[in-house]
Amino acid sequence: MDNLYIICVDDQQEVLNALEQDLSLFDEKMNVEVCDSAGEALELMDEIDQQGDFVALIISDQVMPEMTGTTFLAAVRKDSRFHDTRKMLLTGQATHQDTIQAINTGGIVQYVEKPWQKDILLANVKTLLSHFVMTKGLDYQEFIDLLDQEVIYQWLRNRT
Amino acid sequence: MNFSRQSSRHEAIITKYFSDPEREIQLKAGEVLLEQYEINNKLFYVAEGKICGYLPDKHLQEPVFEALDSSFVGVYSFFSEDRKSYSKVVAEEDSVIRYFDDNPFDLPPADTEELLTFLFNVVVGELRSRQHFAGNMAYERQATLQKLIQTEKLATLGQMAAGLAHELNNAIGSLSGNLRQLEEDISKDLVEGEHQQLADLFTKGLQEGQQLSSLDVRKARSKWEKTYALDKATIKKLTKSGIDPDEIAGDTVKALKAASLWNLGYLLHDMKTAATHATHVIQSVKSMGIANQSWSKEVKVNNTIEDALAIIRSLTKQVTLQRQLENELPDITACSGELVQVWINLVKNAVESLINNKVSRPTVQISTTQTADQIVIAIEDNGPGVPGELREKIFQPSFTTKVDGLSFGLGLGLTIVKRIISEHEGDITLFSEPGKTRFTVYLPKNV
Repeated sequence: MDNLYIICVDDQQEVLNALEQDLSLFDEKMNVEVCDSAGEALELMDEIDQQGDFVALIISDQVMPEMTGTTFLAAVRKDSRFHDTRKMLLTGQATHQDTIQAINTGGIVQYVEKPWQKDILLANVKTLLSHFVMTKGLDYQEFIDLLDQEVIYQWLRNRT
Repeated sequence: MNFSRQSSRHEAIITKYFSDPEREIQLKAGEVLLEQYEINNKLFYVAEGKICGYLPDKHLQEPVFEALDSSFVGVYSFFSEDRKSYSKVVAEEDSVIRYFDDNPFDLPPADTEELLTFLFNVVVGELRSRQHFAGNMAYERQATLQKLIQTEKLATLGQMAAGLAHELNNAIGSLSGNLRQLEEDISKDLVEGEHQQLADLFTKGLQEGQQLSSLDVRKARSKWEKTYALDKATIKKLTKSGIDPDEIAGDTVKALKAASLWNLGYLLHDMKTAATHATHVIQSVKSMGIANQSWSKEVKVNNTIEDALAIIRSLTKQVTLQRQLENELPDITACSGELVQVWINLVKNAVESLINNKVSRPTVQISTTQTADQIVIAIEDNGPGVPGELREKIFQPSFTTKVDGLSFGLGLGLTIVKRIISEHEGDITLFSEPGKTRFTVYLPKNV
C-alpha cells in the first residue's frame, strides 16, 4: 500500500493539535504529521521522500517566524520531488499581496481562512488528495473513503 | 501691500497726494473704517498701524486681508464701478490713515499720468499680496482639516474598538465560565476514583499543556509504537503527554485511558490559554480606544509598551523581538491610549521595513531607561535605515501614505506619533545608518 503524508505547518501548537484532531480520520490509511516550523517540515519531507513515500498535501499557516508560509510553499514548488504535492494556505491573516504571492509563486490551490469549519476543511482536503492520487496514478481504491468521489469520477471519465 | 524698499519716487508721491492733514483719520484699535458694502470714494494710505478686512456676511472669524503701514486700503472699491467695499475694514491696532478722494482725471494731465502709473503698481501689488494671503489661508485650512479627519478616524476606531471589546468580552466571559464548570465536572465525575497515576495525567495536561515540540513528539513516538498495538491517534496523544511508555507497564487498557485523560486536560488547558490571550488582546485594543483617551498621572510606560506588543503580536512574530524594560520607572502623566499608538506605529514601521527589505536575522529591540527628568524609550531595528534625504521628511503629513490590506488603520503614521509626543511635551529623534535605525522618544517625568 502506498504511504501518503499530509503535513501541517503552524508555529502555534494549539492550532496544530486542533488540525491533527480534525484530520484524524485520514490517519487511518495515511499519515498526518504536524510541524511547528517550515524548516522542520522541509526536513521531514526529505525523510519521507527517502523512504520512497509521498507527500500528498501540505497545509501551511502564513504568518510564522523565520519562514512565512508563502516562502515555504515557493521553496517546495521549486523542488521537483514534490512537484505534484498539493498545497493549502490556512491562515487567519494574510494580506491581499500575500495571497497573490502565494498563488503565483507558492502554487497554492486552496486558501482556507482561520478559524476553519471542520466539514469544509475535510471536503477541501479530500478534493486535493483525490487530485494527487489521480495525478500520481496511485491505486485510488485503497483510499476511496478518504477521497472525493466526484473528482475521481471526473478523472476516470477524462481518461477514457 | 508693503513696500519694504521705498523708492524716493514713492515717497514723493505719498508726500504729494497722501499728506494733507485735513484728510487724515485717526483710528483706535477695533474702530471701523468701512462697513461691508459701504460706498467708498477714498483711497486710504495706512501711515501707521494695521488694518484688516473681514467678511461678516460669511461669518468668517479670519480676516481676508491685512494691511500694515505703508500699504493701501480701499483699492478695490475706489477703482470698482459700484464703489462698494466688499469687506468690513477694521483697525487692528491704533492707526493713522491718510486718504485721497479727488478724481485723478481732474488733476493736471502730468499729475494724472504720474498718479495713475503709481496706482497701477499699487493695484497689481495689492492683487498679488491678497492672492498670497488667500493661498496661505487655504493651506492652513487644509492642514487643520487633515488633522480633524485623522482625529475623527481615530475616534471612530476607538468607538468601534470599545463596542467590539464589549461584545467579545461577553462571548469570552461565557466561554471561560463554562470552561471552568466543565473542568470541575470532569475532575469530579471522570477523574475522581481513577487510579492516582491517571488522575495526575489529567492534571498534568490541564496545568502544563503540551510541553514537547512537534519534532520531539515525532522522535519519541516510535517507542510507544513498539510497545503498544494502538491506533495512531492514541499513540500521538500518549507521546504528547510526555510520560514514559514504561510507566504504563504494557497495559493497553490503561494506556488508552491515559491518552484520553491527558488529552482532556490538555484540551481544557489550551482553551483556557486561548481565552486568556483573547481577553488580553481585547484589553489592549480597548486601552487605545475612546474609553482610554483620558489623561492620567499614573501611567506606566512599560505597560503601554506591553499592550502595544500584544496587539501586534502576529506581526512581530516574523522578527526577533528583544525587550529591555527598566523595572523601576516612575509613573508619568500621559494618555495611555495614545502612547500605545505611538509604540504600535514605531514597532510596526520597524518590522515592515525589515520584512520588506528581506533583512537576514531581523531584530527589533525595545528598551526603556530614565534620566533625571525624562523617561527614554528606544525602538531600534537592524534594517537598511532611512536614507539621509528622507530623514527630514519622515515626520511630515504627506510622507507616510502607504495603505496595506493588513493595517486596518491602527497605524496612522509618524505624523501622529510626532503629534502625540508633542502633546506629551516630549521629543522624538531618529538615528539611522545601514544596519541600525533607532527612534528615541523622550517623555518628561512628573515634576
